[in-house]
Amino acid sequence: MAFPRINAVAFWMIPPAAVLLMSSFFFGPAQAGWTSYPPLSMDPATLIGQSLWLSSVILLGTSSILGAINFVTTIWEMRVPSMGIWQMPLFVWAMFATSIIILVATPVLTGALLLLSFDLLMGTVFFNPTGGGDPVLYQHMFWFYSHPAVYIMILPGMGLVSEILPVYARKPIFGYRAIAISSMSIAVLGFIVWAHHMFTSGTPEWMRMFFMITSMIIAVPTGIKVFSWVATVWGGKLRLTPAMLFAMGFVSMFVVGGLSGVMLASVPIDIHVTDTYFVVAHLHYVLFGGSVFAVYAGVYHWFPKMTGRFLNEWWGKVHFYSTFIGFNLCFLPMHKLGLLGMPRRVAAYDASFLDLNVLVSTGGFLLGVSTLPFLGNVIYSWLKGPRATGNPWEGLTLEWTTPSPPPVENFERLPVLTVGPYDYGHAGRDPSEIVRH
Amino acid sequence: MDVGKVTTRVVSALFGVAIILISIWYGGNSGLLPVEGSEESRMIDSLFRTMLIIATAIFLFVQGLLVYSLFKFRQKPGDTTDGPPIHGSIPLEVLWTAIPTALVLYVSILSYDVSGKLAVGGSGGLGCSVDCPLVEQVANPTGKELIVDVIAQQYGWTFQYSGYSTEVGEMHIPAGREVIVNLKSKDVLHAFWVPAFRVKQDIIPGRITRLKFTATKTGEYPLRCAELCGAYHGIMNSVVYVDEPKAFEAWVNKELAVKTAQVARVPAPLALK
Repeated sequence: MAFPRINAVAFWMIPPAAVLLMSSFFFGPAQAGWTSYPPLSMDPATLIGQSLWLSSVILLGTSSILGAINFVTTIWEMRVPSMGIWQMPLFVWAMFATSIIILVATPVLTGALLLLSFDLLMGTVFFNPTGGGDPVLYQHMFWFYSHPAVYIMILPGMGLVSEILPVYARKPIFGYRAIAISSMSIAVLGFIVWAHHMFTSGTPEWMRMFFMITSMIIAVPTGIKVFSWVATVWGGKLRLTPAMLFAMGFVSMFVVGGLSGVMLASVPIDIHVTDTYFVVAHLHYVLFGGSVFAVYAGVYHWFPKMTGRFLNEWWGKVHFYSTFIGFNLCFLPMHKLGLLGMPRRVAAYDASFLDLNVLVSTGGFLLGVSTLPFLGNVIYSWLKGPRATGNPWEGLTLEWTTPSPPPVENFERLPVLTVGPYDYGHAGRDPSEIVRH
Repeated sequence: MDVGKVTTRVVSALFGVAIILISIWYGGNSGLLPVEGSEESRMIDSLFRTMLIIATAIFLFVQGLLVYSLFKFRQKPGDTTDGPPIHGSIPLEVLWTAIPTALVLYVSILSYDVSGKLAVGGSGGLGCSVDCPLVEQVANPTGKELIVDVIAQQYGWTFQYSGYSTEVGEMHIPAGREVIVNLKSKDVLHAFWVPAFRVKQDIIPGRITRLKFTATKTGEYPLRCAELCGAYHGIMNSVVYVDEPKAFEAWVNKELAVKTAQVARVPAPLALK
């Protein structure tokens, strides 16, 4: 790491931020939702809770910025000399793109939250309409960060899946450069799509058309990735471990979120479904069916590397199938609920939505229960799982050349790469010979 | 070309045709949309159906490939060798960049077209706020629009009809006549949404936002607040009554005229100008 101390500071900012956030519940809790739109967030009744909420999010944002500085510098400056940028694993590309987004976008959110806290605590009127301020200005600043934030959440997931699919398909990743470039173009394009969250916020027509078209274009690099993943799997020799199942589940579910995303980009359709359960469905297909599935895949894949022990595969599959079924039962009906007229963020809904909501709740409970085999598996296997060797999945990236778990100094001497990260399928190569020492 | 390859191609082509037919059928019969209650809803629904057909086809194609792979390309017992070392294919990659680009361009143009038809006029667009044109400057004023001020407040709605000073708790509009609503908030953000009309617009304190629509069918349609406005946001509902024009006139005379007279105001003519 280029800046280990800065990274440690970033990490240790998270627990106090969590305490601040939780403590908000005991002092007139913030009630304006995760967006904290003024003027609702300026309600004097929630002053203390809202202020705690704001300070927590500002602290978390600062932590992300510090972490991103470390990632960008480490990736750019500290690769092993034999690794050019086109030999970098795609997860590293994704983290590079993610870190750049964090560096550019987060300060704007921090600014918005600071101005909001001035309004709240010092009587300024940046966003307060009763003093001539503009609540829509806050929305622009908020979404300038918070739309790229979804790429901050999904790009690492895309990176994880790009690592995991080739290992278990026993095939090179299909279209390596196209995937790497797509990550970077999503990072860049992600900065000019924010106002698609504001199509009903009194946004002028020309601006809506601009943001509609930019948001639609995001589908192109995203589509390139999806088709590349499918082509990676196609014709392989699939080892259907829990990691592979979650990675393929990611592709399958992410497609649904991508397709509803294009619908939401279209202004006339967005006007009808924005702020409804359709959006709730969309974002969960992207961030749960997407990011969370990818994180699960990553845990199954790297658990032996991190702990030196295997997770139980049978319970891993139970975990996958219950998650997959619970997830779809919970979130698929929400598309219809939103289209039929159920707004999001409500504590009471019209009786005509009852049947679909029963399905949603059943799926939600199943999804909750589905974490139990996972947690049990992790705890048991960490203590008593069978021992793993250095490279149990026959992967070709550098981490698999170290023992499991890796020693504090990963490499005694800098390794020299002899194969690319995805050079599967070349007959006669000994998979243990990834590097020369 | 051997028989096996021909068979594969014929089967793939049949699957392709099946995907297209299923998608077209599902686009028209999805049952995902509520009743069409306005002229706007017809245009928006037709756009939605087009997009749903495209989305269904892509969905079936990708899921089909994944599920097929799951069975066809599963590792055979005892086979520990790798798959073929295929790193990519420029023609394929060009194809799957070009097709999505063409598709999003196509739906952008369709969406642009529908957006234009829904516009209130002036520079405001479908809804407008900062630079809302005065109602008199609305493009192609027919002089027959019904103008209603909608006042949102935690957690209820009131309505004031142009020419009548009284605020009422029910919204009645005539079928077949264009309605322009001026949206005003007394406290926080709200949003005016009638799902059956497919129109929605945030209501922003300190501004007037505006929306237009023409109801087509008589009936009662839910009006919901669609922007988080506090703990009871979920019950901030009302009903829009779409009446036959004569029934609407009767309601106006009974409710608005009488109540306005009670506050000693002379009722102005209902129609603009």
